[in-house]
Amino acid sequence: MIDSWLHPSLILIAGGLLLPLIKGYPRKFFLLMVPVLAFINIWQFTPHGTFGVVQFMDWTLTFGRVDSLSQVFAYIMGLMCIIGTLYSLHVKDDVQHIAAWFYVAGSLGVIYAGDYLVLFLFWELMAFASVFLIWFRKSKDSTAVGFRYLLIHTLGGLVLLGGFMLRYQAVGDLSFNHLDVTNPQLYTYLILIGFMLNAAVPPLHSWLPDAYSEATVTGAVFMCAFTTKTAIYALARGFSGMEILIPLGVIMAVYGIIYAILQNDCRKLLAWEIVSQVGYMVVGVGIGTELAINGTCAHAFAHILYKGLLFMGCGSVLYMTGKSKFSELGGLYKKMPMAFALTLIGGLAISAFPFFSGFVTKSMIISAGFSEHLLWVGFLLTMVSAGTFLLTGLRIPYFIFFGENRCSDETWEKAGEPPWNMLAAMGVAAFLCVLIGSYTPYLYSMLPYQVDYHPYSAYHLSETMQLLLFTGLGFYLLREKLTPLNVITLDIDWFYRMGGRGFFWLASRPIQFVDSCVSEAYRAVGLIPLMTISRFWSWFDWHAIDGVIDGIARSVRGLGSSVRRVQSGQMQYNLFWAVSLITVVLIAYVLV
Amino acid sequence: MILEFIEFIRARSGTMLKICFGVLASLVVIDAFVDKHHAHTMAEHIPGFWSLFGFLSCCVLILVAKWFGRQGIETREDFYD
Amino acid sequence: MKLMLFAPELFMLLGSLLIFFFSLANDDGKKSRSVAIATSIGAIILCFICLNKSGLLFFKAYQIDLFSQLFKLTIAIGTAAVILFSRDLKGIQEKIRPEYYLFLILSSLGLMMLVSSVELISLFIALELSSFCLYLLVPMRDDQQGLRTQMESAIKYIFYGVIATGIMLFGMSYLFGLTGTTYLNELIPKLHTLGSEPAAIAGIAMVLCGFFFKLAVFPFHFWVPDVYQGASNETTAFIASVPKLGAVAMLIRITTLAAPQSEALVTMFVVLAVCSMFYGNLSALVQKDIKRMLGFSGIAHAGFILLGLLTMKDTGYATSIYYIFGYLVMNLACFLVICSVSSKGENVTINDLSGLHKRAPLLALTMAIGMFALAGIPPFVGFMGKFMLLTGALQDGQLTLVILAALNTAIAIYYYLSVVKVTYCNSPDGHEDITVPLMTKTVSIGLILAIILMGVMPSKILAIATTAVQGIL
Repeated sequence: MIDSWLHPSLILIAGGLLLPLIKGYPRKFFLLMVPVLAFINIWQFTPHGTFGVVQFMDWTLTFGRVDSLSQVFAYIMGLMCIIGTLYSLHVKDDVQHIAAWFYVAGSLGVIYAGDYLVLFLFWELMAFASVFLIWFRKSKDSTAVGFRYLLIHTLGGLVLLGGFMLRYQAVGDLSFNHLDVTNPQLYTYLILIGFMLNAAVPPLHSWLPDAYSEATVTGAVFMCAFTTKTAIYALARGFSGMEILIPLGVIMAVYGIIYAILQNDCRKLLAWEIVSQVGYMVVGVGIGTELAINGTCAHAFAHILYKGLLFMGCGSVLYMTGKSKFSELGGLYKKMPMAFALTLIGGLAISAFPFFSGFVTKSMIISAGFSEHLLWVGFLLTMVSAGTFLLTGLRIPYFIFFGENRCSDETWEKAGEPPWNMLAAMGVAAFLCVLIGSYTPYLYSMLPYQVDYHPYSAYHLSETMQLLLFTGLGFYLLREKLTPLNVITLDIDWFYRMGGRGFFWLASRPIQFVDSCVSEAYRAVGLIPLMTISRFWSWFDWHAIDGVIDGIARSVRGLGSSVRRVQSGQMQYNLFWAVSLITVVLIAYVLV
Repeated sequence: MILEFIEFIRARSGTMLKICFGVLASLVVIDAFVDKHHAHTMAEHIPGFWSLFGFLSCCVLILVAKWFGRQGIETREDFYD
Repeated sequence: MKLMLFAPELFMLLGSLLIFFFSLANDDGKKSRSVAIATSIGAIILCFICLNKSGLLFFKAYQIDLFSQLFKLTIAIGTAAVILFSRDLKGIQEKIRPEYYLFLILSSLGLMMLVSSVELISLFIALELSSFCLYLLVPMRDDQQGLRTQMESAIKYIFYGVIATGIMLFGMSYLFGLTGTTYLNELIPKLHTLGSEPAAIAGIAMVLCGFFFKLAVFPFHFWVPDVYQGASNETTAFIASVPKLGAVAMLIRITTLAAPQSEALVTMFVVLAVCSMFYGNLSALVQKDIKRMLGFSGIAHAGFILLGLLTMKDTGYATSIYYIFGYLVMNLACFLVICSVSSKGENVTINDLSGLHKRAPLLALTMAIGMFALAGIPPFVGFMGKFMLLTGALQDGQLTLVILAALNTAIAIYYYLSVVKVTYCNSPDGHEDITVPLMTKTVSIGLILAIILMGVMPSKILAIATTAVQGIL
């Protein structure tokens, strides 16, 4: 078992390729089997060590670098893949499942990659597979959103590629390890930017709310888990202790929560909250101590589950009613109580209520901040925690499931409990959220460093309960302020949305103009003589034959050849100009 | 079952509100007796510090966000069309 | 055993003679097709057998070496693939189908002779043999809309072709005037001693122009979109892929004439590469007709190939060869789908591919992989090619160029992926299912495998290409 290791991505990719061949009843079974096999492979049959070393041209590629840091991420990715697939079990379109699996395969590939080339390979696979999860929404906007998503990730990929190629030139090494963060070079920053873009660190973040709110119901469940957390893994591996990440992470957490408050679309709110939550992890990476890295991993682990649960909850509302805006929902607890209860568990978990997963993970990062005497970090992140509870623990349940009923009659009619597979997936995620929060050794034993942290102290409990419940008081008093409005929010994406348009204008107007000018000129110098010639030949044909019959062929032929001389003279003239122009250009090139 | 429970609570919203305020008050009182040697700053030794912090955080975030939104960040839904 | 050196060409010649007889006997195209298939497949086998042959023929004007044989093999493969998947020649009238096959075979024969020519005049004749056949293939499309667009395209093609040829001949006269010889092996030392004399550079640059035209490098590309649109789908498939092999081979041969690291030539390559990439990609963004789009994208790819040439090193040439081989298979994969989707030989717009994954899953997969590969997404051949071209240029110190090229790959992804999106994410609404003949299926699976395998295992091909290039330096 030690020398032969099967890459779990291979299971998913092979499963995806086989899926279209399987029809009928066994298909659902197969759909579940593939991610379960991949997970079992990660869980039981992946020992620590280095595997899959391949000599490829001048480079040594490592497909499997397994240690405790990669294992904890791979474990949760594999688990989330099962939950996500269960949640989308009802989807009939094979390609959606394939895209999702390829996406997860990309993520696992990055996590096990031991060098930049393999990392880049899977990094791109993630971007290109996940864009289909947006396109399959098939809404008016999803095409444009998908392209924006793709474009921004391609640019990020190129920066990453540029970074590690420059690094390869400088140090002659492609292996992906901890970078020298105390003495950063240009390439260090390029690689960092590439990773930061996928982690949605401002100002490179705006793709995330844009894309996740437009993805398919099931696609968003996958997307919210993998891209940012894979980037967090990459940052934790390469950039732990990079101090610039601390302020960036804090800005990210605050910025995300402020934008989240302004959102009217529940999935957009959740997406902005990812930005905020990932901010904690970025801070953790920036602090870089053992406690902080443990906290980052633990928080990523917990985050994938509760965020997936919340996306599943809001997704089930969208799936059943077709609506995701607060201003068009409300009072739904009567129609979908199970979905409500499970979503609430997700909300409590993200808000870090005691006995739920956020409580035992988020506080590790905040404590790490306090123990490094970064007081402002600790306080600001605590403040964001209050905001998180305000939004997900209170606002989402209140405006979707309680509060004033703003549903149209049609929406109300359609609302109801989602299919069993959706509820089951949410149930599994909810169970794990509670398990992590209530039985800490489950998660803590997986973390990369020895854990010496006890979340259930009297002080921590008292602190958390005060913080959360008094936030509740604030919500109760200010809930009018939070009434959903029919608005969208502007963000950095304004620049590239508008930039993209300018680019298209450039492509469609001036360049097309040049092209059509040349075509037009060609028509003038090429087609018109051609038509004249052909008209002449048909005339010639007609008259020549007539002429032979009438005995006047000689005179016609004479006429014909004189006309032809005129014609060919004109063509030489045309060609002369074309040739001289090209010659001038050529000589200019050569002499300059 | 969940439905009945929710209806049960909603029917007694006045009582629930009183219970909640009671819990809030008791939290502040309990905080005065908690072992605080883990605290990082002096401020945390004040009883009910985190209550105040939580409440103020919530208000500040909502007000800042709303102010921010009014600066032109919030706009009509068809802005990009 | 000298016969064996010339065997593939001889076999093609015999095949074309046979088709010529069929064309006299009013064949409806079926027999000619069988002969064309047999000829091209036979040529592949013979090329493979003769891969390691070497020698000189025809008063040393015709050289057989690994370089030429490698290109002959791929030319034969490309031709065979086009003939195999263009099953019914939907866009060509029945009565001229034998002639169509005749000129197709003759054109690839011309290309095969081109890559072996090491003397300027024979090189010119081989090029013209191939070009004139192509000029004739374009207007053979039947006139479906009654607009005679195929005639317009053909005349544009001829005009530009003639101009390019003229410039090339002018350049050849310079080279002959300067050195007094037309043999490449005698030209090389003499031109290298002349160094960066303007006349020598101008001569080489003008000869290169003739092949820039074939490869559709800016500003010799103006024929591309119209010819692609006007010619029948099968003809376009051929024009877009196979002659470019010959062009790259000859560009390499001619570039070696210049003194190493000739600044002027490198500058010219850089400028042309950047212009081609930007012009091609930006124009492709707004196309609706998929053949036009591929035409513009081909201009951009031509720019990429120049990245390898401008290093003026054997590794750079070898990556260019690798890239053009890759381009051949990627492009053929896309055109295979276009030819199959077009029901009566009409042009295909991007929207005609709606829901293709439901109508013909294999075609959709072929299209997706072809497009992914053209866009340069790992692990396909397009990625490896671009990656190596970019690293090669970077090692040559062309940082700005590499950044511009990388930007271009990002632009290009947009329009390639929009095709994939339409095939997979749109519903078929109204478009009929497509039945794919077994032969086309086989070819498309072969192309998919080639795209993947070349991308995953490039070292073998690169090694062969490097050996081949070192042989002619």
